[in-house]
Amino acid sequence: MWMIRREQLLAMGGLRREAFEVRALAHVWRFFPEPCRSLGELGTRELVRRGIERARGHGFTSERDLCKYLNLVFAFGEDFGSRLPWAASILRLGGAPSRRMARLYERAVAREGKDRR
Amino acid sequence: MSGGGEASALQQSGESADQELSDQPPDSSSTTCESQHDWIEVQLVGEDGRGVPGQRLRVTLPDGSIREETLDAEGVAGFDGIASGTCTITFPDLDQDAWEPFEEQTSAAKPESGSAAPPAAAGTVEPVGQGDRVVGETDCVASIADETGHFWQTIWNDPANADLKAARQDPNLLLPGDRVTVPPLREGSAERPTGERHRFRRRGVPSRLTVRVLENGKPRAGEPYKLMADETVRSGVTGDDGSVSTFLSALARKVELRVGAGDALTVYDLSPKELRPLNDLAGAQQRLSNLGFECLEEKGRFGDTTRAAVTDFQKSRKLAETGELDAATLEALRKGYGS
Repeated sequence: MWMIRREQLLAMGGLRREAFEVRALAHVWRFFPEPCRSLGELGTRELVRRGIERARGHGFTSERDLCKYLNLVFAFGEDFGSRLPWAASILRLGGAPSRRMARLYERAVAREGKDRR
Repeated sequence: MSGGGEASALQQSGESADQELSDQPPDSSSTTCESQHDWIEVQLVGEDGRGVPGQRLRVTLPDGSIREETLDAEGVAGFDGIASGTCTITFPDLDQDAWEPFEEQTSAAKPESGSAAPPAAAGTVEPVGQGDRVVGETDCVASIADETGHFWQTIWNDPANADLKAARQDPNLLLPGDRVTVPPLREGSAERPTGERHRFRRRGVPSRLTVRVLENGKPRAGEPYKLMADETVRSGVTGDDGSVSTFLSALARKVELRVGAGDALTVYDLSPKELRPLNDLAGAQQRLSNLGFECLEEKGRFGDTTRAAVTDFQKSRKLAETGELDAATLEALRKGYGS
């Protein structure tokens, strides 16, 4: 029988987190190449990390919601959650995070082209 | 940040995230989370259909774990990444009779004014009741219920408050110094499935305020009004009988009503919760003054100004002009004022 200790589980979690960052980086380079080129590889990676931390601070935890939050960061700017009143008001809401993100994203698509920095 | 084509990039990147990424945290164990993909939301609304913020929500999830959250500005809280099944919902700071499943057709329960005959005459009234909660200047049963997590009827109909109820007859008209028994909260719960938003109603909150605006005894009908209570503003048009009826927090301290526009604009300073019982001299003076027979400068004292106001009121109602707050005068005051 295989025995997996807690430390090993934590290490596996860390690896999965890093793997997600790699996938998230590829995602933003694919859909937002222009700002990524402006930031460079290192700058893009740092913005992805900061974006993920900010997203977690708003209660988003799933890969899907974290990635969507990054989309908004790259589309509207890193501070969109405090700069744009509509985004700030939705982020302040309670409720299930995935529902909140769905609401945020729907509004963002409606606002695209209007609120970009 | 900007670049050509972000508009479609935003949609495409969102669709890509939906299709290619997991609804689990990146550092979670896939073996334990495969079934944890559901969600549940709860909304608590008041009698006016608006969200009730700040209330504590407790949900027992299908796996038996317990989560707590505070309702947001829209009265909503929820959880996702949970197992599918049935959740047990409770509001730990509310009594079991203070909330119920929301149904559109449910009518608002509101404290009604008492209809019993007024006492024989007005004079100095003593506080009654034996409870721990001492009534302050701006308290009524609805405000105490709002503060303590109860439905107002639970407090008003509690046997421990029977003597208070008999003496005051109207839950809106407590006397400062009265003592109210606030019963302990009884926890209620509701079983609801995941994957939905479930709505519940906070019973009796906010309260309904109804005012009739008269000028020289005639209703000010069909006029625009704006009612301001603390941070709440309600506007509309007065009814055919000059009435303004709106939901208002029982905890509101200052209420101002503006009726009409331009030269016809009149500002009324309403302090509905400061109204004393009718059989209290100050309560009778408040009603007289509000009906246009000003005598509040003698509040709590029966002097010449009050006697003149009573006589004028009796004359206007074709009563015997005794200058005394007798039973017939008090009954006319109750009818004229509405409580």
